[in-house]
Amino acid sequence: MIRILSRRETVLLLLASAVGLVLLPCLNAFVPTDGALHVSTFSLSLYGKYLTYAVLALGVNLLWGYTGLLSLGQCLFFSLGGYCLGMYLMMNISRLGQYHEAIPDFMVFLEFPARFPATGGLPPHWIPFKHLWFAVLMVLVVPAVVAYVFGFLAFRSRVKGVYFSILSQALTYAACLMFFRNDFTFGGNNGLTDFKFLLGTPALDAGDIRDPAAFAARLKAGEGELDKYLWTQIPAAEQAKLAAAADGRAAEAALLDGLNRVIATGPIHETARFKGVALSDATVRTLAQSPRDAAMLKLNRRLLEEAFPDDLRKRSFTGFVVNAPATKRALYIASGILLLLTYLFCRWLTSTKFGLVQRAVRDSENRVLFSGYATPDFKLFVFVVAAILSSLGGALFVPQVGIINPSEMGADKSIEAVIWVAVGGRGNLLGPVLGAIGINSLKSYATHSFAEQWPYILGSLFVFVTLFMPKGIVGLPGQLKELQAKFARRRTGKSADPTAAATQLEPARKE
Amino acid sequence: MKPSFPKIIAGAAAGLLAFAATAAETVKVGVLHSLSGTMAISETSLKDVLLFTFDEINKKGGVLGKMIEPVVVDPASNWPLFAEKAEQLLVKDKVSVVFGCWTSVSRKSCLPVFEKENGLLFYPVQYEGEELSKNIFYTAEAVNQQAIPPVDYMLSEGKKKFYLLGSDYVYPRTTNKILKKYLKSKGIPDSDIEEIYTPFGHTDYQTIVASIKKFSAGGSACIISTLNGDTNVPFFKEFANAGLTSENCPVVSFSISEDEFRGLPAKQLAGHLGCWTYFMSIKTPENQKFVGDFLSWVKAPKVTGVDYTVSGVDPKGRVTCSPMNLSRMGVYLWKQAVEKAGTFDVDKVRDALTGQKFKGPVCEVTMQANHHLVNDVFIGETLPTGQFKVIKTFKGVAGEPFSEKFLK
Repeated sequence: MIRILSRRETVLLLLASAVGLVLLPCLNAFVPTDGALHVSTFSLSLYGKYLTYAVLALGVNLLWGYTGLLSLGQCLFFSLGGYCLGMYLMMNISRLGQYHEAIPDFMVFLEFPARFPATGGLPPHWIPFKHLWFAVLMVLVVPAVVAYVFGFLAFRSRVKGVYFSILSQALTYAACLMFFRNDFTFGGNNGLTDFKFLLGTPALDAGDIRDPAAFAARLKAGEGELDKYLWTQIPAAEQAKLAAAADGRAAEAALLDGLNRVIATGPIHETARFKGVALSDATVRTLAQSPRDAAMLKLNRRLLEEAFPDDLRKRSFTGFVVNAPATKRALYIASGILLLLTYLFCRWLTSTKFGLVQRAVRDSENRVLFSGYATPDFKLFVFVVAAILSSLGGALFVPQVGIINPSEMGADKSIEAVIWVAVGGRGNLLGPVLGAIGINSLKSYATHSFAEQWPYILGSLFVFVTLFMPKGIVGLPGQLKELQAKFARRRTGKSADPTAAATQLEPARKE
Repeated sequence: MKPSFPKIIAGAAAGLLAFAATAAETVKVGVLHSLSGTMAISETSLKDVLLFTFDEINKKGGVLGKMIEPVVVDPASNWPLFAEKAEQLLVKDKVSVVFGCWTSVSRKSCLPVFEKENGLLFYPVQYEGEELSKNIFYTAEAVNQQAIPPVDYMLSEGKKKFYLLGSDYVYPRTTNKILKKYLKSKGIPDSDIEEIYTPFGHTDYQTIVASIKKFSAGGSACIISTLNGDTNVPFFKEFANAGLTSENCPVVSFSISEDEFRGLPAKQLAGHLGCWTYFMSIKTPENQKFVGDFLSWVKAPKVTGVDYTVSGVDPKGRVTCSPMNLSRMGVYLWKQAVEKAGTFDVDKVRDALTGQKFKGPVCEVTMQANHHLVNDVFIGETLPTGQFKVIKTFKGVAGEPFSEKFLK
């Protein structure tokens, strides 16, 4: 097998992984919050966001830096990945949202039940997104298909250079406008937000209540303090439905509705209410933290299960809370691993013969074409691969930031991604990663510390890099060396060595 | 002369000490408004009025004896950045309260953060409702405060046909959905209600205005417009070109306030109507003082009592408008609640906020248990100067976010 990583790069990657994937999460998890070395969940999650941006930047770089295709629409694929996963997260809120309906909140107030009566308001294409595997599959398939169709048409028609850039920008803008429309069923300009759970939900589901009719009767009788409380919390509409229920199934539906409302409304624990109930140690510990938001909903579900062991089926797992520190840590690590794998993949791809053709296309497409290579196919392949990489980044971006909406598809976002690559240095793999993480860290810092002046700070940085650092941050050591050599020559008065200058123009890495 | 090194050290130490001294007597308050990007044109004014209010309060001794120290961040009209900045304010800066957001999507973006960190957000811009977070106080006009009153007014003026025109996003959609139900309950048949949406930044209103002309032929029609920002310019231009006027077909706009007229030609809109809970032109002594104080503040902006330099305040052509007034009243309501609770603790302040009354520039408002205000509603006629002349007042309208509760 060809050795694709140089020794220096291997050491660098191991070091970066040790710090990024092991040390930082450990400092977050095991150092107490007031410790000097503690990394806050906020910071970790912020880095997690940058890591997904770095994956996007590697996608842009694969196109621009290695193939010479300047795509100004890469955020379309990033957003498509985000939307696919966002849909799964929306489906996972199930009945615990603002309206306690089985469909996401925005569908309720946009009156989807009237539009899609057959599915209870859920647009048919949303249905399979309740499964994570389907959402992940779509994260891969949707951007690949869009990129294939667009790329096929563009490359077959020999759209090149600036025309390709403009076309890619038009594509993402068109998609942005389409997603803006409420009729398009993806939440309009608000997009998808208020995610609560991952990989499961604490909402009571069909089958969770052993005997709905008996349980309802028990609550209605209201012998215990808790029974009485729960019955009064169930809205009158659900109570009426329960009374009118003709069969067990209707009774179950009404009771599920009612109890899920109770779970979703507020903290249900009160010492008097749970007097006779033997709570597990884990639940008592969680209670002491008085959790809020989604974590509280999870606790409510567990309290009910433990209070009614004979009536409610016990589920050992009710999903991860998206906002919980442990989940954020896991998402951060997942983003880190994705970035590492993307890096290795790009390194492998660019070091194969394919990579050689890729760079040849960048440097002189006509010559490659006349040598008998079908360059459109090569470009199409790279375009699809880059789209999938961006989409994967987007899929991990969404649960960490908690929102995806059409403005992420705006042309400005894609141009921002190109700027990261330009500032970091294109045509190599380290530059885009450094650019994405560096610029976004700077932006996060500056929008807080220099709220009024930050556009000038970032703007002048971009202008400076474009004018004076054509190879970006990564090219800086080389530039400095060149400068040093220039000064040394001036001092000694010797003429320049032409071969030294020539090698500087080539990529630093030797094959 | 160059200062010597020990002098610099001494200076730095003194500065640090001074900082520590002021830090002990201040309370940090977050300002979360876009200062760059597409929303900056609207939101910068809210940042200005907030800093002005902090200055007002600090001059009178602050809150619970502490000076308000603003922490201004720029979420840059970038919705995910709103969530990030909100978390930064709550977790890193540990602010006691945040005033911010303009668009609904920005509010929705940071809502989970405020709920998770148990923060407090005051939201000052008219919105579509259908939301109630225990961590957000909506000083903004709910739909029943801004949309229902002018429809009632139009009905009383004998209008029988309603053309609902809006930009295609959630606020117009929801507002119009509610209005349609409301109109139906008032006996207006479906055939006399038209509902049209145009995309953001739409400029070609020829066909729409032609259909309006046909729709309004009998003279008993009016237009309820939720068109946003720039789109209003081509619409009103086309509207006037077609020979339509406020006489034969009045337009009620929900998204144009005095502040928007800084960027819109007011002449074309003269005679048409607006509906808000505040107008700059209302002549009460309190309002004249507020307007006067604000206009002189923008010329020399500062926040008294804390080490904070105000920058980016444009002193030219400034006005006050309803979102600005609601922003300012939010700060005062929070201040009163803190003083009532005797602490900055979010849970206690939240409890104290319910029932809090504040005498604003134009009327007294009350914070209800549903986190919305009881406020007076005014319908105003647009003047060529970009101001409004009040033509109808609705006293003490109670904000209600959920339409199912006021559509009975």
